[in-house]
Amino acid sequence: MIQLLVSRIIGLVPLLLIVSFLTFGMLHMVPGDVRDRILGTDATAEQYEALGEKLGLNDPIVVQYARWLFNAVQGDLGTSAYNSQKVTDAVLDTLPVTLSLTLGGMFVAILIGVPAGVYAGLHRGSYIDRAAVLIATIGQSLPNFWVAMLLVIPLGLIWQVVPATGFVSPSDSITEWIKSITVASIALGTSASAALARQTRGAIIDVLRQDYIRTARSKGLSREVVTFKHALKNASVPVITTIGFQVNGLLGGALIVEQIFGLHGFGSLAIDAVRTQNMPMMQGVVIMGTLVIVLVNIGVDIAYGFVNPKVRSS
Amino acid sequence: MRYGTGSPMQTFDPHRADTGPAFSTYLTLVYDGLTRVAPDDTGDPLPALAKSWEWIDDVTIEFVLQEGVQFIDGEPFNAYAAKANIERMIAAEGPRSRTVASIQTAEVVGTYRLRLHLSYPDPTVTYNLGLSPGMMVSPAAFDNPHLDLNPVGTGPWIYDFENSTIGDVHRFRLNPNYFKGHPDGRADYEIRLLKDSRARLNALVSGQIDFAVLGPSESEYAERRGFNLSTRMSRWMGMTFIDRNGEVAPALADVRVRRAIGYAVDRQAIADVVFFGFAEPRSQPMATLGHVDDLKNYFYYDPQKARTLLKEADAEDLHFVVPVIAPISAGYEAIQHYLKQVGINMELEVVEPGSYAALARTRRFPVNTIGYPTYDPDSRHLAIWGPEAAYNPFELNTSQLETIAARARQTLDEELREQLFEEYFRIIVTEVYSLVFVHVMDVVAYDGERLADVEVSRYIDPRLREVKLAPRVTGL
Amino acid sequence: MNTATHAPLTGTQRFLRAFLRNRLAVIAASYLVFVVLVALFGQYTLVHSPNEVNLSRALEGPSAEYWLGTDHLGRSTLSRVVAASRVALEAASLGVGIAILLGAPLGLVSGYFGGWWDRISMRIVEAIIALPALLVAIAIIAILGPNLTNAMIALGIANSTAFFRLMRGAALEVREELYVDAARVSGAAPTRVVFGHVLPNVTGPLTVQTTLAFSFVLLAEAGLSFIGLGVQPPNASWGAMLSVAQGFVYQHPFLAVPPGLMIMFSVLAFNLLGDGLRDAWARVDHQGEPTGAAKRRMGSAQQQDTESRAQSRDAADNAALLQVQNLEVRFPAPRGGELAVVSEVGFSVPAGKTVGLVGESGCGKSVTSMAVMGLLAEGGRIAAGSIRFDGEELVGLNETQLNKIRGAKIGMIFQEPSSSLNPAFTVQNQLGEALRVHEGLTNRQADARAIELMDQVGIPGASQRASDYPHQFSGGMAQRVMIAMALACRPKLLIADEPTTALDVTIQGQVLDLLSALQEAYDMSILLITHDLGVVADMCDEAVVMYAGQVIESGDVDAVLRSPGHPYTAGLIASIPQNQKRTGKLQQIPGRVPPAWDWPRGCRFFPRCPAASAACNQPEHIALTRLASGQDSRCVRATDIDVKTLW
Repeated sequence: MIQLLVSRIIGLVPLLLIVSFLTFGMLHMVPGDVRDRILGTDATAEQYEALGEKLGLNDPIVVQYARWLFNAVQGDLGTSAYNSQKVTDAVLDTLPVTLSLTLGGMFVAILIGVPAGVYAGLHRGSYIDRAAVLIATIGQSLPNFWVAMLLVIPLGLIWQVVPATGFVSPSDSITEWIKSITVASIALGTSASAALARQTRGAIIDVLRQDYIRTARSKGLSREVVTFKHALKNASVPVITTIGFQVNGLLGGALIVEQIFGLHGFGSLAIDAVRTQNMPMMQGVVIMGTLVIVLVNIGVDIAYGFVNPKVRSS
Repeated sequence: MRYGTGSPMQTFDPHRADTGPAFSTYLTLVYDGLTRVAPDDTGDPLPALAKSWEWIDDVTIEFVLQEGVQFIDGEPFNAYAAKANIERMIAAEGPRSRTVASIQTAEVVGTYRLRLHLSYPDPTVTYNLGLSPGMMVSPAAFDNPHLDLNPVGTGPWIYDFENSTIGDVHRFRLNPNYFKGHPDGRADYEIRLLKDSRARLNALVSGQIDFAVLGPSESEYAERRGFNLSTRMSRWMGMTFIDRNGEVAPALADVRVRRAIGYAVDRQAIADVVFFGFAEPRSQPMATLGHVDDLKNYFYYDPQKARTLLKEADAEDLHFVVPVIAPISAGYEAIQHYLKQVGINMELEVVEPGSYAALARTRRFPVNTIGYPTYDPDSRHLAIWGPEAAYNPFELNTSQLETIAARARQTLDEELREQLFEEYFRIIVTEVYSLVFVHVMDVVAYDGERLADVEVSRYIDPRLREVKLAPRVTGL
Repeated sequence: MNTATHAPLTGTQRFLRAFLRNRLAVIAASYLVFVVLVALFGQYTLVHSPNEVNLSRALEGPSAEYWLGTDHLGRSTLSRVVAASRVALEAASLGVGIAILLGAPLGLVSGYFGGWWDRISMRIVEAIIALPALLVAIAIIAILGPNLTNAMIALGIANSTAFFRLMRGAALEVREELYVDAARVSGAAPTRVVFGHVLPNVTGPLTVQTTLAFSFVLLAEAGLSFIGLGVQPPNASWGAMLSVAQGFVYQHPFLAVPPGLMIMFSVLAFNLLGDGLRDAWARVDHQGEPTGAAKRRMGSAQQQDTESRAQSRDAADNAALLQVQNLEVRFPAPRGGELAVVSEVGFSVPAGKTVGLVGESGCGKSVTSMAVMGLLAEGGRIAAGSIRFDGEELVGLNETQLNKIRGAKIGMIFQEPSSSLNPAFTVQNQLGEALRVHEGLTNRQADARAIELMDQVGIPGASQRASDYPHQFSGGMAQRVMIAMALACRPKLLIADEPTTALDVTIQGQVLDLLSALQEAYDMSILLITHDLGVVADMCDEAVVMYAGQVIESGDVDAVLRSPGHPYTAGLIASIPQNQKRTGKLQQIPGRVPPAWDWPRGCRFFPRCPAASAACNQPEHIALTRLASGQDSRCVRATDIDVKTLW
C-alpha cells in the first residue's frame, strides 16, 4: 500500500515536468507579453527592449524554463504579469473554491448516483430500474452550467435559501461554506451522478453474477448480508475507478459553473489570465489543475486499495 | 458598505498604476494626491494634500501643502515626502508617466512648500497630479516589494490586507487619523470582485452587496426591482478608422464611404434596444470640452443617403474586418446588420480583451472599436489621433491635429482651448476619423434605503469616497 | 428431419435486428438523423436568416412569425438554433475526428508492436489523462485565440486517449491469439493482420466509443462557448446562445430553453444510441438463439414431459436423507416463453453415503444441485416435483426458511475455488460467517473456530494464514478453504459441484482424499457432481447419470460401472482417463450436449448414439426401466444391444 503510494508520487515527477514544459513552451508563443501591462499603451520600442532585457525575456526559452523550474521546485511558480502577487499565492487562494466545487460535486454524485445505481442493479428489469436508467441517461446529457443557471433562480434569488453568489471558506463557517457551494455542487453532481449510477448498476449486476455471491448464499446468509457485505464492497471497485475518471470532468465543470456564481476559482483565474495574457498565471493554473487531478486520483487509488486487497498487497 | 465591482485590483502602487476603474475603485480609498479631480463633469483640479497652488511663471508651479498629515505608518507628510514621491513617479515610468512628462524637477522651498519645474507650459499638470501619478506614498514604503499589494498612503481608508483575498474580497477600514476626519455615515468598505454583471445583479438582489455597476439589461431589471440608479454618460461606442489611406481596406480611404456608414446605422434603435435606453445617440466623441454644438446631429439614420454616398464613391462589394471584444459585441452585431442593409459587409472578429491592445497596434484591422471616454480630449489625442499615438499603426500623418492639440495643451487660456478643441473635433467628425454611434451610460444600482450619495465617477465605478450609509441606517 | 433447417443470420443481420428491437435507441438514431438533416438543409427552409437583426422585435416570445421567439437583437431563436445545430455537429465531428484519427492508429500500432514504443505511448497517454482537459483547452485558446477550431483541437487531443486505449487493447488481444501468429508465420503483412483481424473485433466498441465521444465533445463545446471561448458572435452556437440567455434570465427566461433543450436532446440521443449499439453488439456476441422450428418443438416436448410424469427410482425411499422426485426446472427462453432445462429428475441420497451426479456440461446436473439449494439463477424456477431433505419439503420454502438450511444443514462447494471466494474479505471472515449466522458465535469465537477449521482441512500455518485474502491462496488451498467453509456448521449433506475439475492432477487426489476423510469424521452424505466417472468410481456408492436434463441411468455404482445400461453411460466410462491426466473434454463421444431448445424428441441422446435406430426417436417419451443388473435406464434398446461393447 505504502509502496503503491510512493511509486505513484514518484510517478508524478516526470508527469509534471512534461506538463510544465509543454505549457511553458506553448504559452510563450502567445503574441504580446508582460511588457504591455507594465509599460502601458504609450511605451517606446527602446523601453520595450530594455524591460525585456531586465526581465530576462530575451533569453532562450530553455533558459527561461530552467529558471522557472528552479523556482518552481522551491514552491515559487513565478510572479503575476501585472503585480507582485505570487502565482503560488493566487493559485492557493483560489484552490479552496475549485477543490470545494470538485469535491462537492463528487459528493453529490456519490450521494445520488451510488444508491440509485445499487437499487436499480438489485431490482434489475423493474420499472424503477428502467426509470432510473432513463433518468440517469438524461441526467448525463444535461449541461451542468445550464442546470446551475436554472437552479440559482429559485434557490438563490426567489427563496434565497442559499447565497446566489460568493464563496465562504470552510475555516470561517462550515454551514455557510456548505450553503455557498450547494447549488454549484448539485449542478456539477447531477451529470456525474448519472454516470456513476449507470456504472454502479452495471457493477452490481455484474457482481451478483459472480461465483462468490452464490457461495455466500449457499452459506445461508440473508439477502441483506449478501447484498450489502459481499456485493457492495466488490461492486465498489469499478465504481471507485469511475469516480476517478469523473474528477477531470468535474474539475472542468467547476471552471464553468463558478462563473455563474461569481466564484473565484481556477476558472476565473484561467479566463482572466487568458484575457490579460497573464501567462505565468496561466502556467500556474494548469500545473495546479494537473496536480489536483492527480492527487485526487491518488486518493481514489487509496480508496481502491481499501476495497481491493489485491492492490494493497502487491 | 459592500460594493460589487467588475474591475480586478491590479496594483496598489500608484506610480505604476494606470488611471481607470481599478484606480477609482481601490486606490482612491487609500491614497490622496496633491490635488484631486472634481468628481463632477468639469473635472477641475481641487485641493487635496496641497491646500493651494500658484503658477510662479509659465513653467514653475508652487504647491502649499497640508500640515500635520501622517501616513498610516506614522511617517509625516511634508514637502520632502512629496518631492520623493514626484521623483519616484518619474523614475518608475508607469503607464501614466507620459501625462506628466512636463515635470522636470521638484524642489523643496519650505517644509510645506513644493515647487515643480516644468519643461514646457502644461495646464494639465494639476489635473494629472490628481490621478494615479500624483498619489502620495509613504517614503518609508518605497522599497517595500509588496507595496503593490499592501498600500501605505494617507487616505480615508486603510486597506485590510489580512482580511482580504486578492481577486475576491478586498476590505478597507476607516483611517482613524484621517486628516480631514470623516463625515457622518462613512463606514468600512467591503469590495467584492464579481466580474460578471449578472453575478453582480444576483448578489445585489439577494442582498449580498449594497451597490454595484450594472450592464444595461441588469440595470433595467434592478430598476424594476426598486433599486435606485445613478447614471453618467461616460464612453462612446463607435469606430475609429485607423487605415484612412486604404492599405487594408481601400474603400475606407474615401471619406464618403465612412460617412455612408454614419448614415446607415439607426442610433436610436441601438440605444433603446441594445442598451435598454442606457445610451443616447450621438455623432461626436466628446461630451464637454471638445463638443461642437452645431455638429450635434451631424449623422442621422438615412440608409438611402448612405446608399447614394456609396454609389458616388463607387464602392461596391465593400468588405472589411473589425475586431471586437466579446462584452461589447452585441452593439457591433447590430451595426453589422445595418451595414448589410446598404451593401457593406462588415465582418466581426472577436478577440480577447488581453490581446486587443497588442492587435490594435498592428496593421491587421482597418478599424478599431475601443470605447473611449467622452472627456479629456488631450489624452484621447495622445492615444488615438496624434501622429505618435499608440493606436496609429498605419502611421498616418496627423500633424495638423498635433499642431492644434499642442497649442491647446500649452495655453492657460480656457476660451482659446475650447476653440482649439472645437476646431480639432470638427475635423474628427466631418472627416470621419472616428465615427460615433452612441454615448453609453454607466449605471450604478444601489439600495436607497441603505446608502446615500451614490454617484457614478468618470471611471465607470461610483465615487466610492462620497458614498455614505443612509441616515436611517446610521441612526439605528 | 426437423433439426433446425432455418438459415443462420449473418452477424450484421443479427446486430440490426437486436438494435431495431431497442425502441429508445431507434428513436435516438432517428432524432440524430433529423438533426443532421436540419443542420445540412435547415437553413434553406428558414424565413429569417440566423444573423438577421430586427431591433424592433427584440426579446419576443414565441409567435406565428417567430416560432421560438427572438433574442436581444431581435434575431429569430429558431433560425439560430438551426444554424447552431450545424455548428455543433461540425465542431463535434472535428473534435471526434481528431480524437479517432490521432488515437486509433497510434493505439493500434502501440498494441500490435508493443515494446518500448508502447511503453512511451502509454506514459504520454497517462500524462494526457491527468491533464485538466478543459483548462488545457482554455490554455490552447489563450495561445491560438478564441475560436471553435482551436477549442476542438484541444478537446480532440484530450479525447484521443480513449480511442488509443481501445485500439491498443484490441490489438494486444488479437496479438495474443494464435490465428494471428499463424497469419504472421504464413507471411501475412501486418496491415492485413490489422485489417483482417483487429478491426472486425473492435467495430462494436469503436462505434460505441464514438457516440460517447460525440456527447462529451458536444457538452464541452457548449461549455467553452458559454464562457465565451468557443464560437464567437454573431455566429450562433447552443452554448453561446445560453450565454446570451443568461444575461436576460429575468426579462426573458424562455431564451434559455431552446438552446438548453437542444444540447440536452442531442447529447441524450448520442448516449441512447451508444447504449443501443452496445446492447446490440453484446447480443451479437451471445451466439445462438433458438430458431423458430426448434422453439415449436420445445413446446411439444414440454407438454410431453408434464403429461407423463413417470415413475422414478426409489420414489418412496423414506430412509434417504435427500430425496428428489420428478423435479422440473424451467428457465425463461431467450425469445420469450420458458424452457424446461431439467425434467423428471429423481434420485435420493441415503444418510452417510456418497451419490455421484454424472454428465457432461450442459446436461443439467448443476441446475439440479442448485435447485436443491434453492439457488437457481435469476429467472429459474422449480416448475414441478419435490425435494425432501431430512424429512422436510424444500420446494416452496421462502428465503428465510431456506437460509436456515443452507450452510447449516447443507453445505456446498464449487468448481472454481478462486472465484467462489469473495476477493474482498479475509478467509477468516468468510469462514466465520456461517458460524455467526447459524450458531450465533461471536466474532472472536468465529475467528478461533475458523482457524480450527483451516487446520482440519490441512492448511499449514492456519493461524497465520487466516487473515490472508483469497488471492493469496493456491487453487488447492483455496478449495480446502471452501471445504472448511462448507463444513463449518457440520452439515448433514455436502453438495460438491465438480470440486476437483479446476485443480491440478496431483491436488485432485488430495482433495478427494480429504473429502472422504471428512465424510467419515463428520458422518455426512455427499452429493458429488462431476463429469468424471473415474472420480465416481473412487468416491461414490451410487451413480446418477444425466443427459440433456434427464436422468438416463441410475443405480449402484458398481452395477453402473460394470454393466452400464445406457449407451451414454458406456461412452462416459470409455472416456475415463487411463492415466490420471487432467482432461476437460470427453474425446470419445462425438458432438456435444445440444442446447435445451434443440433437444430431439424421443431419446435425447439419439443423434450422438452409435446404436441409434429408428425405434429410438419413435416414442414421444421414453420412461426409465429397471434392468436385470439392478439399475434404471432410459434406453429403449437397453435390452437388445450389448451396451458395454458400443464404444
